[in-house]
Amino acid sequence: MSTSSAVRLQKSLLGLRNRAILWKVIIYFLLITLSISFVLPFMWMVSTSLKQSQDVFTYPPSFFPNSFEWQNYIKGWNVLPFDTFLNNSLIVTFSNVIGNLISCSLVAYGFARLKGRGRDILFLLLLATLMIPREVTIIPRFLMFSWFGMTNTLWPLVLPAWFGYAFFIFLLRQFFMGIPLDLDNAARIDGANNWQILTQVIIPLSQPALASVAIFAFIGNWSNLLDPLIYLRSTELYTLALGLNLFRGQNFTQFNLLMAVSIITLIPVLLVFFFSQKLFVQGVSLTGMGGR
Amino acid sequence: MAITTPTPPKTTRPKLGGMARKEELAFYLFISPWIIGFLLFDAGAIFASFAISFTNWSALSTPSFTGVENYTKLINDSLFYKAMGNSLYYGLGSVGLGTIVSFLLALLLNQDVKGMALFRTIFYLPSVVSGIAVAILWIMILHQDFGLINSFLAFFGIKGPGWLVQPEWAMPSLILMSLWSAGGAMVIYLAGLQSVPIHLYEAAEIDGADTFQKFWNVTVPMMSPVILYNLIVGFIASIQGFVLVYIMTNGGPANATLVYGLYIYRTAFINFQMGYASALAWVLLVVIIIITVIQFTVARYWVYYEGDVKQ
Amino acid sequence: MARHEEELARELRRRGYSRRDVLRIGLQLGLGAASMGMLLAACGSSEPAAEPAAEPAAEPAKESIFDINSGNSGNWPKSAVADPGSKVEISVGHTWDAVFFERQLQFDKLFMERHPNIVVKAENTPWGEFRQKYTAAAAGNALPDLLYTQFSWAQETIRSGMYIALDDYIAKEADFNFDDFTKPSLVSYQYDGKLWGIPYDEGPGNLYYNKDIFDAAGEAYPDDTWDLEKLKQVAIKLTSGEGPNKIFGLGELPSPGDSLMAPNYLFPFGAQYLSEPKEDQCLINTPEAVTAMEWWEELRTKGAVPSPADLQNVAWPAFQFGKIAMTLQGSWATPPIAAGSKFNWDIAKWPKGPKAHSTFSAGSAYMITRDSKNVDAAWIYMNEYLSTAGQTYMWASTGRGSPSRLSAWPAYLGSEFAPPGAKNVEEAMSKGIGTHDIIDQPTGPRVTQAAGPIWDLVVAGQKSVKEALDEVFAAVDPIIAENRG
Repeated sequence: MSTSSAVRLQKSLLGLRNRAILWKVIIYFLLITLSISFVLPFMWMVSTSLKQSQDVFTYPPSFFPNSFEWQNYIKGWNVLPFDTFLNNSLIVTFSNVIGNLISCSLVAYGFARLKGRGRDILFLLLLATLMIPREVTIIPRFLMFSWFGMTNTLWPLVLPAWFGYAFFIFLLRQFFMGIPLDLDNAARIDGANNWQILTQVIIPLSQPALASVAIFAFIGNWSNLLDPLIYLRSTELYTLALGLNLFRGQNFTQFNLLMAVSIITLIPVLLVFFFSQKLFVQGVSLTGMGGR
Repeated sequence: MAITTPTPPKTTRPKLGGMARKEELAFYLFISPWIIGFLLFDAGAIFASFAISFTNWSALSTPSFTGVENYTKLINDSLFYKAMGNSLYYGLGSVGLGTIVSFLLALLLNQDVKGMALFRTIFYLPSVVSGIAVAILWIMILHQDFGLINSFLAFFGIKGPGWLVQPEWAMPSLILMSLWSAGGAMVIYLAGLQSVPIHLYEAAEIDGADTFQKFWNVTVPMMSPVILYNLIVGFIASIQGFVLVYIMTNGGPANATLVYGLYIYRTAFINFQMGYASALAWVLLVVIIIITVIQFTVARYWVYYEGDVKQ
Repeated sequence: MARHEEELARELRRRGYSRRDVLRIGLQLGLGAASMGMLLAACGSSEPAAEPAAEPAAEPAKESIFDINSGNSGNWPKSAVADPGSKVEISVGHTWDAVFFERQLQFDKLFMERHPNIVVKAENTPWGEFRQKYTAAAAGNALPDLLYTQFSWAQETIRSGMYIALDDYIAKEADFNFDDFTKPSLVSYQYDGKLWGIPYDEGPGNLYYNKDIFDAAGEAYPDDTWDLEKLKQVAIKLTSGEGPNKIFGLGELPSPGDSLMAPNYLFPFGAQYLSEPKEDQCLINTPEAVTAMEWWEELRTKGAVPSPADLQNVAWPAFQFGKIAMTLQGSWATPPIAAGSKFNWDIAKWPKGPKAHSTFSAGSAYMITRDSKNVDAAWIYMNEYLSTAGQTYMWASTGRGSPSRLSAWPAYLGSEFAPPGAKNVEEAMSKGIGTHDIIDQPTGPRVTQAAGPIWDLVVAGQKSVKEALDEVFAAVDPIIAENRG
């Protein structure tokens, strides 16, 4: 190698490194500026949760509390039996996450990989359950669950998840269909049956998708207001989302307490989201697949 | 059928009738949880709402059968057209822009830099924080005189509109706001990006593809099933949704943001006209089915399934 | 500073915490030594520390932390209906905010001590979702024994057969005293010659005013000599400033999208919206009504009323920002204004007009539902809950105000929560100024939903008053046709 070409190589390597640094700077710049705008409503919540109630209404709204009323957190949490609500929310949320992961994987595998008469019609029917506005099915569903004798119990909030949910089934079907059929066929040649293909080929390759389902099921149920509202009557069965809405009165909303308890209930959601990010990466490293 | 699932090619397909029957049995076995759940929890309620749409029912007392009266009433109801128009406007606007924005966000959040889990969490925040906090923040951003956006425009000598208070700007404002909770779709795109096989990028590099070509010829096709999912599901959700509208404008001004979901809610639970609300809901169902079938049909030309091996 | 420590201490003591617990919690909260001292001192005293005896109107927020025995007069009515011989359970559907619900549980606890065979289960539902929940419950014949009902949906639900008439029970009670109820309070719950619910509150619209703005302008506070002409003059006079510092003379103007509009804005000029009480004719485009609405709209052209852009707020009256000199609000606005305002304010009567002196009046009631399995026990509860003693305990002594029984007012007016002008609220009810001639027939929501969007265009300056009112008439007339005949 001649000297000049060595210099050229060094220069282009330097250029590459500079480009990589420039790229990182751009990425961080975008991430940080966008983060600021995305974190603002949360900051407003934090600031409101620390205010005295007569400071909540200022104009223009202020982002910085002029006092730090930490006891809003204790006061808000103790106004209602939020410990009990937390328990109920945990029961409902975890059984929904597990139920949905199991049932939706099975059903999505059926729709993505197997063939049977009426499959397309059934799939459209599955999607149609999402298309009918809930406002008009709430009451018939309530009547049905009261016929089952399940109103004022947690069953109507827990049971349906074990029978699949169209949003998640559709999502998993799309991901499953993105997995090459060759993998199935190879497994089949090795004598694997459908169950083994699902559990040993499809599921390990779909961890990011399953993580998304888990996140959505967690957050959807954690913040679900409508179902607990309709089915639950006794305060001791209330969930966090329902209890939280009790701060919003007919004429009187205590925003500081509402925001304080909202933040407490938001923490598990953020933790779940934060730590599930590892699953997204794991999905890549375990299978040796994945972008970038 | 338009939503044909790509089927394994003939050569790999079992030729024996017995094998096909076995596969069919397995198919029904795998989807049986959903079929049982559908029959137990959904079918009755959906059928009931259809039956109710032919009655005059307040939900508080006994219904009376009125035939197709609700449907004929609907033809002459100007609010029905208004609400349908508003929801289609909102649905197309928020899904169209939302798809682009959440896809770009996912690309940004898929970069290999430190602290990404934290950034992802922050970007997801607006999808989970309290609706009131979101509403209040947007009021500050969109305020006619002191809002961020109009202050920014004023910097260039442009006088910004009264975003939420002028009938013609209210809906664009709501669409703009919807972009901000793109976090949900973003999560799905992130999961999608993780699932793109790396060997495809390597192959493209060997072929001398640049970054853009890799994006356009590898990332986009591989992501197309997920994009289709977000288009369909996003549209279904946005054409029915009304929570933010309810908090921010309650349909005003001058019905400019009276979306279909809000109209059904009002009819059912404020006006106690459950029969009419059910008729409205069923018309919406038909519209959504038509649009979904169109989306699936068009998808045949642009969605690529790796699991659909063509030989 | 001290107030909060006292409050916290009181709260902790009420929950049975010892001084040691308080110390621990205080440390967890990271309170400074001085604060801790105050906390422990407040905790150590056997009586709750006395509230500072400042002028109540200027007194900042009080969190509702109630002593179970405060406000309990002990004068509970003795029902002619006998208590059940064995344990029965009744459920009561409320929609209280989280903090006030504590008071409800306190009432129920005391009630169960008086009636050992009646177990009371209080259900509390968020206000925003109340109708959805109980509509479903009604469809499923699963209503609680007693149910909260607001005036705006009372007629619809009464006519659908959701409740049972109370006349037979009332006839049995010698001390029930019908005349004690303020006149407008019963209107919404009567139908077919019977009474289907008993109101707990009924309050008039009042003129709330920001004393600081009046003082700064050297203007005298509104009083009984005021008429609407004066209101208009002062509203224009108090309007000043620009941009974020602008002060508006008046908080709002009438809109046909508001079911409470007519008594305050039309009756004083001899005009009407719908023919009350049957609501079978729309009179909104008569010359008197058009003139009255144009008279009010002048305040908009003078800039004395905030535009929708100025009013971009979510869930609280703009008055609380301190940028509005006067506002018309129902008496139920007193607790939130007291809790959320950082300025001096008070209450005056809504001024009289050339033809009449009137203001809207509205409220809420409790009903016994058709699904009740223990109607007798439900009645015993209702009779005590809505008696003078019950209203005093629940609403008068806690500062909620506007009890439906006149006999419960003195307890409110004498409480630390009532601003000096609260007597104006009482007088509006007792002197016949407050009227229930508001839109409350089952067609009501559809009327206001049709009219509101039309009026939005007047507000936006895109339509004349006359033009809009003609359109409102055309939109409303077919809806109220069902009230004819």
